[in-house]
Amino acid sequence: MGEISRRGVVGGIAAAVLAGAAGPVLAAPRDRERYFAGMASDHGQNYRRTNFNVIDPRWRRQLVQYYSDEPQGTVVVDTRHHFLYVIFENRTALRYGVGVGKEGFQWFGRAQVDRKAIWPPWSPPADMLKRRPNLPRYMAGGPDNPLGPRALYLYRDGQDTGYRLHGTTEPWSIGADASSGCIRMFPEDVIDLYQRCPQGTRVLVLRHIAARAAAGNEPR
Amino acid sequence: MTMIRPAATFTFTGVALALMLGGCAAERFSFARLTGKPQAAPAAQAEAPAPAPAMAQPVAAAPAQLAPAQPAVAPAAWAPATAPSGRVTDAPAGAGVNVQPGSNEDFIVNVGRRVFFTEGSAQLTKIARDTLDGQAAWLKRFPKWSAKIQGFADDPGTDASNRTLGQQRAEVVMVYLVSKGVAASRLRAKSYGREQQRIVRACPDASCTAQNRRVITNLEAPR
Repeated sequence: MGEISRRGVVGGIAAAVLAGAAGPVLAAPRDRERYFAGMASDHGQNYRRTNFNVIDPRWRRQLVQYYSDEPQGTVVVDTRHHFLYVIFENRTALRYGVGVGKEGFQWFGRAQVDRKAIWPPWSPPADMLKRRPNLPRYMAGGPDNPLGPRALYLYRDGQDTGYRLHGTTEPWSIGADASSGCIRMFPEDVIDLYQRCPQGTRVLVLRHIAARAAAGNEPR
Repeated sequence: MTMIRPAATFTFTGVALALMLGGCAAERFSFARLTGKPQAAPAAQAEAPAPAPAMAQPVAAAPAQLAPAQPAVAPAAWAPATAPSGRVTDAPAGAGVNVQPGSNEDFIVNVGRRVFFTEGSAQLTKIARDTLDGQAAWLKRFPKWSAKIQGFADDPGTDASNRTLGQQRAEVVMVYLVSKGVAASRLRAKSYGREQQRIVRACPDASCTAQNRRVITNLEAPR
């Protein structure tokens, strides 16, 4: 079954390989084409469908049991284990596999989805521009944009935390730690998540689920 | 005392509120990808099947404050997909990735039952229409199902006005599904207004209200 190796975690070289997309991550696997299966259209853009046949089943969207006091509709991110949950009724949750970038490991606590965007534009953060000065300052939303088809922006007390849930153009990075980005999801999944999260959705970002008890806005 | 408004009252074209730039793709999920081995047992025991309306979770607990520290819950140890019968977070609640196309679980996982509304409104947002496009396509593909369209509200106003708003929301969804080709005879709309036991969470903050102002398309077994 889904033996998906996280190939290509070739340390520093990774950044150099990064093809057109700006925020990558793992070096693209040599056989990257097998991660895709045709095209899908969405809100005036096209994206490459994920070939879920080559994805480890554990990273695919599925219904799981979930025991906690979080109210329905809450999004919980387990950073360490690369899962994102939307809490459902009856002690269940819809679970998605995610990739976690460097920025995704820098913030934990409670937040709220105060802004959402379809085919979001992207501006590389300053430190990334320093490393890679050739990047554009601004990238319009579209199929090559590393944020993918959707982004949900997390705010706390009205302030942008800088933390986002977004898509990816690199399906092999789901389930892995990436060199950049926040919480990245398969395009199909971030599109799905988007419809389930109205503005105001509560989000809890944890290092891992067992950290639940200490889930304040703990400093790192 | 539920007032039934003529559906035409509501325009679907309403500009999606600027706030919600949202949407989601309708045909995003190829069912093909869900075909695993066909599951013998019916898939979704996850949510109480249709009738028990969605909101199993009572509002328990004092109205949650905005960003409080989480009450110390015994941290359920994280255990990746363990024994299916174990009461363990992350254990499968349904068929896992082998969801049977056409099952209730398929609808829940791959389409989505809920659409959300903004305050005082029974207009469909762009995002809601996307979800409903997915629902309509699915319902047409699996004609054995009927659906109870459940409308909810917790908006400013009286219980009666919330009951009315819930009904309007349910009907606007029903009319949209019919406009996309689902036979009206398969659908019925019902409002629950702001009945306490169906409020997901009570507080004036958006994190509560957003969840309460909703319509749930609840599949019903063929009668």
